[in-house]
Amino acid sequence: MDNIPKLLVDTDTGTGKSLALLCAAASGLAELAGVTTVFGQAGAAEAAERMLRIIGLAGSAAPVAAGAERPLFRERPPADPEEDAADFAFPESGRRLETLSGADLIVDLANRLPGELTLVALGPLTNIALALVKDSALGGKVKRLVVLGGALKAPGDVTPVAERNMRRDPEAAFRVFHSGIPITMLGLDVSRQAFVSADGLKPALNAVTEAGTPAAEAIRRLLGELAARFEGGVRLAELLAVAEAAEPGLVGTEPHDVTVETKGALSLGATLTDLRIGAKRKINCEVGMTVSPERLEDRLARWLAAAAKGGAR
Amino acid sequence: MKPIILDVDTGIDDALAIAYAVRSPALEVLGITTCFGNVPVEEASRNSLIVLDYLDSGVPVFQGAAHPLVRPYSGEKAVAVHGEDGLGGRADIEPKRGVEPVSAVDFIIGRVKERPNEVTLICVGTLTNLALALMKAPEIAGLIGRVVIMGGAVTVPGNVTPWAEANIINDPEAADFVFRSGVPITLVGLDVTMKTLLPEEALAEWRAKGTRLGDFMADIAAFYIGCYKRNYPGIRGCGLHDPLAVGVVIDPSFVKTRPLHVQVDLEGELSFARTVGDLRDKPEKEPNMDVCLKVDAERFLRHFLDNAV
Repeated sequence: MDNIPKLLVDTDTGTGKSLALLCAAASGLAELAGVTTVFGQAGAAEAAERMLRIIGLAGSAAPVAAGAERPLFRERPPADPEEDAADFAFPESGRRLETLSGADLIVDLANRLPGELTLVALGPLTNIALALVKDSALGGKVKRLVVLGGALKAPGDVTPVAERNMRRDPEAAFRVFHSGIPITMLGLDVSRQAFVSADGLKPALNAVTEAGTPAAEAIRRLLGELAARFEGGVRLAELLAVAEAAEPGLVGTEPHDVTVETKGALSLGATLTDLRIGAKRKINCEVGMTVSPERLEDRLARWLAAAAKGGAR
Repeated sequence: MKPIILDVDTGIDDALAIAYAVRSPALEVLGITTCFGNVPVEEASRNSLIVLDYLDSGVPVFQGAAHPLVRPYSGEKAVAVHGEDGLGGRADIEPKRGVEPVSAVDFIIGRVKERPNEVTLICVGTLTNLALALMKAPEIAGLIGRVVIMGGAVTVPGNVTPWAEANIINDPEAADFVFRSGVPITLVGLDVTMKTLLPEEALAEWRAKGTRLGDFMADIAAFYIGCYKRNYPGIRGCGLHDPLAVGVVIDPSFVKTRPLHVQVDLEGELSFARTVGDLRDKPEKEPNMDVCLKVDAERFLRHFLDNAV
C-alpha cells in the first residue's frame, strides 16, 4: 500500500468537485487520507455533510472535517449563480464529521504522514492558509500542495484577471503562495484544457453502466449534470487536479514566482508574476500550462472507470 | 494630409516621434502640446522647441498640465532613461522660440471644434491634457477623429512595475477618464512597442547623412539605447514607443489591432495602473478601444529610419 499516493482533498461544493472527490475515494488509484471543506458555493458545514455522503458511496472511512466558513479577512462572498452547488440528495452515510476543524485535520494528517501527504485544494485557500498558521513547518511535511485556481497567463473567469477560488479569498491565497509550501498551481491556463469529449467519455460510461455500484450510479448522475452544462463533452478540471496530485507529470508546468493581488476591486484575486526581461525571480510554484488531450482523455477516463468499479456494493 | 496634434513629454522617444511626425508628408502637424512626465512640463516644452529647431520647423508648441489630476506630483525625472535634461545631454542649447500664449487644453479644444471629426490626437505622454480637455469641453468627445495613445501593456509586462507602463502610471486617473470617455481610441502599448526595437547599428545611417539633425537624432537615440542595455540585458536596441504611435497614424497597416474593453487599475497594490483588458471569450462589456497586438516591426523600422531624419 506504500506506493499508493495519499491525498487530502480540501474542497467546497460543486458537481465537478463531488465527482473528483468520489474518484479519489473510490478508484483505488489514490488513498483518500482526509477531506476538509471550505466555504464557496455553500457553507463549509453544508459542504462537509455532502462530501461525507459522497465518499460514503465509495465506502471510504476517510475523516471529513468542516473548515472555514468565511475568508481570512473578508465577509463571505455570495454564491456565484453561474456555478452549481451539486444539490443531489445522496443517501446519508451513517458516519459523523470530525469534531476538529478543517485546518486542524490538515495539520494532524500532515504530521501523522510526514513526507507522504499531497494536499489538493479545489476551493478557496482559507483552510490551507489557516493550517500554515497553526503549523508553520507544514510546508516541509507534505509532498506538495496542488492548487486548482488562479490564471497566470490566461484570462480570469469571474473577472478579466481573477479566477473564482483566488477571488474568494485573495489574502489566503497570498499567504499560501508566500509560505514556502511546494505548490503546483493548476490555473485556468491548463484547467480550461481539461475537456473530455463525449466520445472520449464513452469507455468510462460503459464501465459505469456495467459496474452498477452506488458510486457508479453517482458518477453517472454527476457526469450527466456536467454534460448538460458543456457542449460536446465535459470539463473535468477538479478531476485533473486529483489525477495530477496522485500521478504527477500529467500536466506540463513552468516554474514561476507567483503572487496575488489583495487590493482593489478590478484586480482583486489576480495571480501575478513578473515576466519582465531580467526580472529577479524567487520560484515558489510550478504552474500548469499544457496537457496532451489524448493523455488527459485516457487518464481521466481511467479514473472514472476505476471509481465506478471500485465503489462499495 | 491627416491633421494631427501631438501631445508629448519630451523625452528622447518623444523627440524621435516629433521628428517622424513633422517630416512626414502624410501628416499635417497642427501643434505640439506638452505635459509633465519624463520631465517637468516646462522642460518638455523647451525640449520640444529644441527638436523643432533641429527640424527647421515652425510648428507651434502649447504648454499643458504640470501635474497629475488627483495625485501629488513627485517631480521626479526619468534621468536614467532620458538623461538629466530629458534629451540625453543634447538639450544644451537655447530654443529660438517660446511656447504659444494659449494653453494645451484650449488649443486641443479649439482645433477639434474647428475641424470636427478630422483631428487625430497622438498622445505619447500622460493623458492629463486630453482628460482636462474632455472635462472642460465634454462636447469634443464626439468631435475627435481618433486618439492614438502610446501607453499601457495589455498582454505583456509593464516597464515601471511588473504590470504598469510609465505613461499610465504617471497619471492613471487621466488615462481612466479618457478610456471611459467614448472617444475612439487606438492603444499602442508595450504589447507592440517592445517589439519595435531601434538597433544601435542603424544609427550609422543617420550619422552618414552628415546633417545636424542626423547627428542630433543619433546622439539622443544612442543615450536611450544605453539605458535599454542596462535595464534589459541582452536586448538589441531601444523600444520605439512614441514613434510607433506616429507610425500607426501614418500607416495603420503597420499594426494589427483587436477591439477590447480596457480599464485602468486605480486601487490595486501590485496591479496599480495596470491596463486590464478583458481578454475572455465572453467579455462583460463592449470594447472601448482597438488595442495593437501585432506589428510588422521590420517594415515600420525601415519606414521610420528613412523618414525621421
